[in-house]
Amino acid sequence: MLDAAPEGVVAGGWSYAIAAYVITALGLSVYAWSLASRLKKANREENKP
Amino acid sequence: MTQRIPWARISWEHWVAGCGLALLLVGTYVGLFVAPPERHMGDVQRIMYVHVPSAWNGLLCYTGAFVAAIVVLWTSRPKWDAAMVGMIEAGVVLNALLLVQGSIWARATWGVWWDWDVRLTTSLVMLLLFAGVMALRSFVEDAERRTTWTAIATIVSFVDVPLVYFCVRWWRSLHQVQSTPETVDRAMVLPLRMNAVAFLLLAIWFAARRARLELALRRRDEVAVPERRELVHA
Repeated sequence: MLDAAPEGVVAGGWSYAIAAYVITALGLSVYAWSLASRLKKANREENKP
Repeated sequence: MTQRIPWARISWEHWVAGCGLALLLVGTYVGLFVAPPERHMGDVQRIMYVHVPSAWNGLLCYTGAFVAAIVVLWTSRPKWDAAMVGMIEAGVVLNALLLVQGSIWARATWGVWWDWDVRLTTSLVMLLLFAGVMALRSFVEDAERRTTWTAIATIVSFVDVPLVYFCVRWWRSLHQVQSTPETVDRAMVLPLRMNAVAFLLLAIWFAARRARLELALRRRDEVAVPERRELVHA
């Protein structure tokens, strides 16, 4: 068991944080784009004479 | 003559998405540049402001899909089938993001990208189960059977959802147990709540758009199937 709280701070945290945010933004954007294009295609096919 | 105001034509879903996006931008700014770094984890802890909202809303989407699955088995209404599919797919996207964010956080704090820890493993199983439900659905051509099979598979897959939430309390895990506003600095609670609401609004938008897509595909299939039958008989 630890006698005291651990000391020190994780170094280089910014690059990990930025990577996580960029991947999140990319993931959400790509899915939104995929939904929009699939919906547009389905609507176009539906309205075909 | 009355004239409609342009913004009045925008559907409620886009309003929800717009609010979600605006809130996400503000929440992200506060999370990255205003909230203080954590005492031991430093700046890497800022991943929490996207990681926890992804987790909460992913679980919420799967819970919504579970409820829709029960209702669809009861009523067989296409609207509920579409809602179920919308929430599963939104849940899968958030679940995938959750695992990637968690992996990055794990690398910085645990020194590894992945560990077969109970929280990580149950979260991965949850992703595979619900992605499997969507895959299963794509193999079934008949609309009624597709709805029934998806609903049953969703109900079975949902067994893992409470496991993901409670496993850190029930078993020993590297992953921390849930925090409460009492155990987190107030300056950290604000961006967390902002992003949680933002992710919720975006998840609603995703689920609603995916449900609309499902209904459009169903209408297209209803037109195409009789045409195909006519061709076979001819």
